[in-house]
Amino acid sequence: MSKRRWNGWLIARLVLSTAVLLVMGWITLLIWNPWGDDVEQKVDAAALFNTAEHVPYKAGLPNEQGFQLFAESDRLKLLVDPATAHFQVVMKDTGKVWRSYPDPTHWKDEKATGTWKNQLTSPIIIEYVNANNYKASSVSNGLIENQGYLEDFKQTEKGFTVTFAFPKIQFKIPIEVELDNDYVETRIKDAGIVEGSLSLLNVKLYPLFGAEPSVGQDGYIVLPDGSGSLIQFQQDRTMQQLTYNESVYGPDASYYYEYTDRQRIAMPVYGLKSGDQAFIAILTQGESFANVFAAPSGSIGSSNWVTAEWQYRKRFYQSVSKSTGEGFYTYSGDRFNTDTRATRYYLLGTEQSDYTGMAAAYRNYLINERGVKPIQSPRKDIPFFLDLVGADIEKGLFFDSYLKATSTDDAKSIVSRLYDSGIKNQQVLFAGWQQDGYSTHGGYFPVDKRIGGNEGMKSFITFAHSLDIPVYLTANYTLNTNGDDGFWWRRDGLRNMAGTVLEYKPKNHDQDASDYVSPGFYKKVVESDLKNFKALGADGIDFEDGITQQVNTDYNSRYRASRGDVVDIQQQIVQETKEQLGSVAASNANFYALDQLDHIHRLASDYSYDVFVTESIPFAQIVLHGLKTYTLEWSNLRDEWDDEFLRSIEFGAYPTYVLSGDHADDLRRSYSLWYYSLNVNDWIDRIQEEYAKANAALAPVQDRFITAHRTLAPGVKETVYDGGYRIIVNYNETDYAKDGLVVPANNYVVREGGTQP
Amino acid sequence: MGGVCLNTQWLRIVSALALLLTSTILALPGSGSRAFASQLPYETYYKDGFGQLVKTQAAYLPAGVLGYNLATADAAAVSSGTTATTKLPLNQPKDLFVDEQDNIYIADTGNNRIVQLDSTGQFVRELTVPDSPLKKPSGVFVNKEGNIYVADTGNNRVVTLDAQGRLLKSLDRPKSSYLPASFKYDPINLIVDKRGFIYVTTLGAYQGLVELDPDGNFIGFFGPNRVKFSVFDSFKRFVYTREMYQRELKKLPGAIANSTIDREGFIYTVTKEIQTNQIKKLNIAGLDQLPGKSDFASLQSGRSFGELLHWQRDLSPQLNDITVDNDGNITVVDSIWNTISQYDRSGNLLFFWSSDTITATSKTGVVKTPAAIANNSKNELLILDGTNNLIQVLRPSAFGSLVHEANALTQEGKYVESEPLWNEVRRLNAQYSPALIGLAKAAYKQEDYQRAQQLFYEAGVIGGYSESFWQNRLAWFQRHFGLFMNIVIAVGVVLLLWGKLKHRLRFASGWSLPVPSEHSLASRLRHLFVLIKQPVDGFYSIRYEGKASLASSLIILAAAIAAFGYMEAGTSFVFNPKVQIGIDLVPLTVQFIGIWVGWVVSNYLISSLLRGEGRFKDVLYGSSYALFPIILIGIPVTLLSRAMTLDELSIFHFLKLAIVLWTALLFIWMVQGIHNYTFIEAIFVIVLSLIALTIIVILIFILISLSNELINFINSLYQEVIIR
Repeated sequence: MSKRRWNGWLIARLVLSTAVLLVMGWITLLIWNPWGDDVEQKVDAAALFNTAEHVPYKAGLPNEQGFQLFAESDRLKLLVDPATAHFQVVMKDTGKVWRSYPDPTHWKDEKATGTWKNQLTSPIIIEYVNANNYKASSVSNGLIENQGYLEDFKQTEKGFTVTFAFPKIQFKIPIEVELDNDYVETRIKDAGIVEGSLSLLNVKLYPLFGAEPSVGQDGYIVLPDGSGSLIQFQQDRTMQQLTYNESVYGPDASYYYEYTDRQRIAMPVYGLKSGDQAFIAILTQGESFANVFAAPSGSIGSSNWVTAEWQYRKRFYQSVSKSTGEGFYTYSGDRFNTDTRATRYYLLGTEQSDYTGMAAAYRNYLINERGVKPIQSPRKDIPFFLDLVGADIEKGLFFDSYLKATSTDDAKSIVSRLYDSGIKNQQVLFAGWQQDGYSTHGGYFPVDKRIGGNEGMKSFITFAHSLDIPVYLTANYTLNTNGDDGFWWRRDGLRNMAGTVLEYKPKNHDQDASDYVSPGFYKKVVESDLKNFKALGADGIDFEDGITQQVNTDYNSRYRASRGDVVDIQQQIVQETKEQLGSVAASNANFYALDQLDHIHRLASDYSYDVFVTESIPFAQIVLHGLKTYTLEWSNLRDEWDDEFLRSIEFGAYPTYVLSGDHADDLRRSYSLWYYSLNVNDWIDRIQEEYAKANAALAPVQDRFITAHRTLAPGVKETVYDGGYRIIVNYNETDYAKDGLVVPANNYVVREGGTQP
Repeated sequence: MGGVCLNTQWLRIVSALALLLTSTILALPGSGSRAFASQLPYETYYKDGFGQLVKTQAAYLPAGVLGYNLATADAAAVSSGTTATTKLPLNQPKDLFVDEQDNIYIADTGNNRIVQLDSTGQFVRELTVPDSPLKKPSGVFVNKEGNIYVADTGNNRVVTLDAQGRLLKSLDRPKSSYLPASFKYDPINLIVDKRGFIYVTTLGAYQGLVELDPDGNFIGFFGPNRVKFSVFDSFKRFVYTREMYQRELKKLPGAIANSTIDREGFIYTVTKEIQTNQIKKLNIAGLDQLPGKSDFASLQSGRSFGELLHWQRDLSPQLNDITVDNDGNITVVDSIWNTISQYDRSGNLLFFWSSDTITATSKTGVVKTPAAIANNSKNELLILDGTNNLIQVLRPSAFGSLVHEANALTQEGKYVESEPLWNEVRRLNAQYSPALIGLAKAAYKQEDYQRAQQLFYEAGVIGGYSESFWQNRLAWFQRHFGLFMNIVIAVGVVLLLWGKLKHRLRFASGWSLPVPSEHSLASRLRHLFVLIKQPVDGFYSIRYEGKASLASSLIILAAAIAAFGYMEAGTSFVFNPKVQIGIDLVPLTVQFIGIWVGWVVSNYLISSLLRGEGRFKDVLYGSSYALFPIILIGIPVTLLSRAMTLDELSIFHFLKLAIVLWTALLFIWMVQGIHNYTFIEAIFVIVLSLIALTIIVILIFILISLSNELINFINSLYQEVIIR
């Protein structure tokens, strides 16, 4: 007996030692890596530059006499100076000129000096860094400082191509400029970029296009900040040094980003107006790798300018100590590659030279080139968007405890109460229906039993359908809190540049952090969940806070995806959802999903409160009205009831409330349902009143575009729809009266057609 | 819930462990913004008496930026009417004053001047006092007559100017024997009362404000802060040598950072480096009017002003300036955490809001470095930004105004008038406690005590709850008076009859009562009554006569734990405010059992070393039996507490004290009886046992933390192998 035991012991020891040896050997092998990739072949970049043959780029503005006609359309002419690769676009009927360089009339007053002055005249500004030296800081340069020159300048059918060469720092960037009927488009061709030992960070191409200093004219920069905002041309501004620089479609969490607490850029556009000429620039290709950069007068030079800053690498904070957070800045390795990065400038003449004209140009682009279809034959009444929250959880000792807010039976009674009160055209968005409620993500199905389960939800949806009311179920999918859906954070989590799985740390610190899901993984989950949505009879998914809103590079090697890929994935998800269920909605979505969306929920209606912004405008709403239905923030979350109701009328938005049933648990300590007041009983009168008002004002124009929007007097705004339907809103404490038009204080009036808008 | 949640919880624990090792936590953009009502650059909260945060609608909204575009109107240029003015922006301004006409005065410290703007923010004039130039002035005050008082810090003096800016007086350091020679006189701010007395805030002066008469004579120090003298301090004083103690004595009361004065003449001071009572509202006699006035006063002994979000738990507020509006609402600004908190005139919190620090840009409505804060007649807040050199203006929102209006009525005692307003506030924000409190007061006033009691309970206000309950109790007694009298009479009659019949009955049935066997459970439980009468003997007989068994002890122990739990959770809200936010019994019970087990073990170990005669099971039995006062008094007291109000607080405390004393005595007698010690020996052994218990606890903690380290180490090893 004892002998046999001894043998067993010996065998165990042998096996253990072998295992240890094997593991050690394997590790050594991994470290040594004999089959690893060979050192990549370095192109000898220096040989590609030939300074002797080329004339270095000259400082100063191009000679206006040297411009030659390169291309011509019905409305526009493209004049180019081959010596500088600068161009002018001339509008034929008015003779108005947009230059790709600063306005020569005011150049003598330019206060910028030295490098910046040179950069302002350069057709291209690049920022680069020596990535091998982590202490080196990035440098911004134009062509002049680097004895740069133009290479392969060629006239093409509609414009020209040229390569900007920077011999000192060994960069070559090929671009092309083309004129079309009513726009000029500039493109960077990523495939032809040559890089030496330095790393290209970003490129601004023709940064001063259309730029003008503030000399007393009416003018502004339009930013895609929230619903849209203006930086009016001013001579004395506060804190002049500040500029605006934000990433299109939001910051990328996989890299370092400077925290600005600004609203996400959902529309890849910007515009500039000076006097009675304006342009809107639409980033038509590669826009997920762009920032919008705006420099109002006095910040960089005396011109007001706004441009796309095309990103090639991003900064990353590599932390080396978890406890102290110490670390250093580094940059992503490979360049972000996309075929082409294109900026299209639509040039707007006299009548259209304001932000409504810009919005109209963008709307036409969306309809004609992005396949966005306008609203067809709407119902008589405007839609009312009813958000219901099923349940949420709060922190308990061992388990989170479930807080029921609205059961499916409650939902039935809320919907029928509203229906009976005259709101027939409802659309229901049901959130917090999933397992363990609103704050739980992953394993959404089945519907939580405690609010009625699948059966309850099915019966609610059937009931809603009997009243001709569609029901959307709200879902996120970009977060996973519980590991359901077969999610393993290590395998399926979204990873940043260092390979760390990103976590979402909720504002409510009681709640545990949850993991971000790789876009490649959530695509699979949504696809497999679609049949469940269908089985319940849901009319669509309402994507909240995730899909169509968050674009983060994924370094997870299983699902590797660049920003562009993530946009593609989300577009596919939205499209499949639409095909399978018939409809999709999303909250404050990025505009790349617009063609498939039927409704944009809680569209931004405010700006980011930067001190340099002078006015917030409903740019997104002007683009969208008549294209898609949209709402602003839930009415019962308003800071100021009257003003924000007036704003929703001004912005042409439909009413929406977030409600719970009458017998909700105490939600004070719930993770996410902090909403001030949800009880349907507290709001039902208000809803009736608000809906009746909004319906009277907006029902006739549901399928009409907004053709004009302006400020008649401080605090008095006018929105004009196709056919001259006007709504004038007065936010002031005093009545507004002018030319027979009287708008009572804190109120609005509607004027139907007839009069010229 | 069950299985699923268990599952998710387990996964959470696993991922939390993994998190420790692999990932740094990132706050992500956009994602945090799960439905934010607006994109305002700050979020507004309310915090109730229990420290629970409630998000509210914004109370104030950004209303513009002033003072960034200042001309230094050359005297000559102004008189000749030319517009050729050079511009000189503010430079590190330190103080702001708004007069009754809403003119804004700024102490532009870096430019050695005082700047006046009109109510719209247009530049009016600058004052440099050419006769005797200002040097780094950092405080300004303007009285009703328009006389301007300047704390001219660089010249260590106070300057008074007439409305035209001509020098009236220059008051240097007052000469007085009461002003210590070591006192550094650096005036940084000042206020002036109706009599023209000047209260100067001096840099780092913990003695209080320097009070000067209109001629600059020293009157005294006003409103000093007091040092707290803790038990630990007295211990130090007792143990330390005089030198050591003096070296240790860096404990100075906080220096007043700023002050303001309201219409009624109350002087408000705000102090930075202290933990409690940072705000004081002083009457003319220098007495603080705030303590005890707020609705949550009984919950907040040692009240701290200046709110922080609750995840900033370990930080203390650093209040920099204070302002009081027309309604007496007090607004303070925290210069480090950039938080603005607003209290009403009794010190009840109304709102507080703060913004994240953003270096990349500056926002309308957010101040980088709040240097000073002021109110104008429209109740707008003006906040001076010492870094960006401008003034941010915040206007009250519709919600903020509604709350102010309702609260002003409540403060004036017009409860009924306030009711509709508070109803509207409550409709807009169901969680906002001031609305509940306002409605409760209105209900009380209207003698709807049931509703008042309910609302006070929801809001967590003990005083109001207790008073409403008193009323309800009175009404109940009055309603049931007849019944009580009947019961009393009936009981009296029964007793009388019993007294008469007792004798006869005893004879009839006395011997026929069954005598339980010595060793039955019932008789062992009945042994408790012996312990009441003769505790030492009772415990002695547990040891030597087998009067207790495992079953009986465990029953008593379980009953004691249940009674303890019942006391914690069942005591009336009046004496146990925590019940309002819910009590978790599990940790309390675990703690109770843990200490009890620890005691049994350590007492057995110690006594067996010191000639104790008790066996382990005796200690166990005895320690269980000794807990019975918790059952015997605890349950009735808890029941009784529901019928008591704050007026009977002392009775309640006395009864609770009785439980503690009796239990403690029983433990002593238990040790004495079981181990056969004298009383003194028993106490000695108990002290030793407690020390042993502490050591055991410490050892357990060390063990747990070490094994955690080990698990982490193994896990990280595993991670390394898996990843690389």
